[in-house]
Amino acid sequence: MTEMTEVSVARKQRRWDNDAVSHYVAFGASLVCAFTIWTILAWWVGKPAFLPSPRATLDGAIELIRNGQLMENVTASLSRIVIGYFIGTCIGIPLGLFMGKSKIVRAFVDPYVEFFRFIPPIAFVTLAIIWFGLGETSKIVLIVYTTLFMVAINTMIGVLSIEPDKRFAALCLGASERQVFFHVTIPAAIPSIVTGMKIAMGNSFMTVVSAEMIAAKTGIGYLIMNSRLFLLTEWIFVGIITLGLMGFISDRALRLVANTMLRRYAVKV
Amino acid sequence: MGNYDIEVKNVGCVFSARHGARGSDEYIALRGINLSISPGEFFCLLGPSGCGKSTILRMIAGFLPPTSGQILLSGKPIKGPGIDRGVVFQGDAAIFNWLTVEENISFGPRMQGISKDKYRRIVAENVRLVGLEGFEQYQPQQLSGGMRQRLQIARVLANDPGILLMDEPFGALDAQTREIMQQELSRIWSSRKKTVVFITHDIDEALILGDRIAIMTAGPAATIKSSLNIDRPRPRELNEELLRLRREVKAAIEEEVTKAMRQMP
Repeated sequence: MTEMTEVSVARKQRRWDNDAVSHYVAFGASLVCAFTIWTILAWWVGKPAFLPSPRATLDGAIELIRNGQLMENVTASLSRIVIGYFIGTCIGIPLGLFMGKSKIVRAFVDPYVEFFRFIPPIAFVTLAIIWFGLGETSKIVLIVYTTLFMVAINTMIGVLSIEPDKRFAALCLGASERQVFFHVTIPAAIPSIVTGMKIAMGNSFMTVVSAEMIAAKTGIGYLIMNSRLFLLTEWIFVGIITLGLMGFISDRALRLVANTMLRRYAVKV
Repeated sequence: MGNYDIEVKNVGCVFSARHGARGSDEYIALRGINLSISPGEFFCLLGPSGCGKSTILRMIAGFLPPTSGQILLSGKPIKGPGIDRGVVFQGDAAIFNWLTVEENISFGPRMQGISKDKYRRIVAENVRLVGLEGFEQYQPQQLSGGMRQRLQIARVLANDPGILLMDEPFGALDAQTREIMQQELSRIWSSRKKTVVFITHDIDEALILGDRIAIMTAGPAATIKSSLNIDRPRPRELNEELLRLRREVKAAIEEEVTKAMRQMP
């Protein structure tokens, strides 16, 4: 009996290993495929200003790293995102909790939620510049708005979708309304809050780039827009790839936090 | 903690569906419910599904006010949930799945500000009582369905309520696990002597557990059809005598089930 179990465990283990290996093989093959197609296309088109080759893009990247422009622009965009995202989350979570908790707050906020949800933050870029100037404030305000909206709505959904029996169970175990809020409502809403933060992260990137394209002297959006003026298409490519990498890394960071610190809340990211 | 008696006096329950397409959509769930449950009694409420058994339990628990009539707890009307009534819910929805087994069980004592070394003893005692030793640090989703029901029972017992309200607690379990859980509950009840209100649609379960069984009519406007005392020692098995009672109860229930089927749209 024991022997049989061990055999089946070993078999399962091996199958799992194969899955992991094939996963990485597919991942690598996908990258190789993309670069091959890109190289062939670039060679076939033959106009670097129209479609630079991977090689030209790499050279562009090295140049931008050497002269410090890449670092400067990455830092500019990233610091705007970090500040705006942090402020937006700090306001969005409590606001969402109140919206979920109180019917009156929900009724009060609802018209604005329903109105603004169809307006992309990008639409506010010019307005933000008129109101908050060309400096950092206008960009940060836009990211705060993006983040706050997404986080608050998802937090509210999290609070509203808590099973009533959880609340009832806590109440008849002797918890006060206040204790129910802190010991049941908030922990039960955490998966939904994290979902909101994840969406907000993606939206923050979109917002910051579009704001930088319209009015900024730094940032990845500025780099992309400015390169267009000099027909440095490979720099545009570097900017786009950098954005993708930044997004990927921030998403992984969020996932790491969720999987280690918030493991018990069964957060799915 | 003293024992309580429960007095359900002419209770009715009407649900209003305001979003009904035409006219007033009122659903009369319960009508003229009268029950008198004495201290320490194991009371089973048996009825066809959809008859409003759970609604009665939820009203006793204080989750739902009766539309008419009154529910008294040792003479005082119920005004919402309280620690004197522990509720074991039908499914897993009531379990705090972000807490470990131990943290779930200590929830009640912690909310009441009981000191750590005191509630640790309470947790250990109740973990032993329901047989969850060794699983203290597990998350609820790592447990089997039967273990999760035992966790719910332990969590409620940690608060030492005078009354246990159980809403089809073993309904979702397989036959073998259910049988084991019934014996366990019988044993726990014998050692703790609490007033129990137990909701079920399983006749055998009611016969094995109850001091008294009340049978409900089919909804809408369900009420108590009849009730019978089962004065037999525990642990019980379905012997000749209980089987005879079973036929009786079954006939009564079947009548209601057919009625309910005929009323279905």
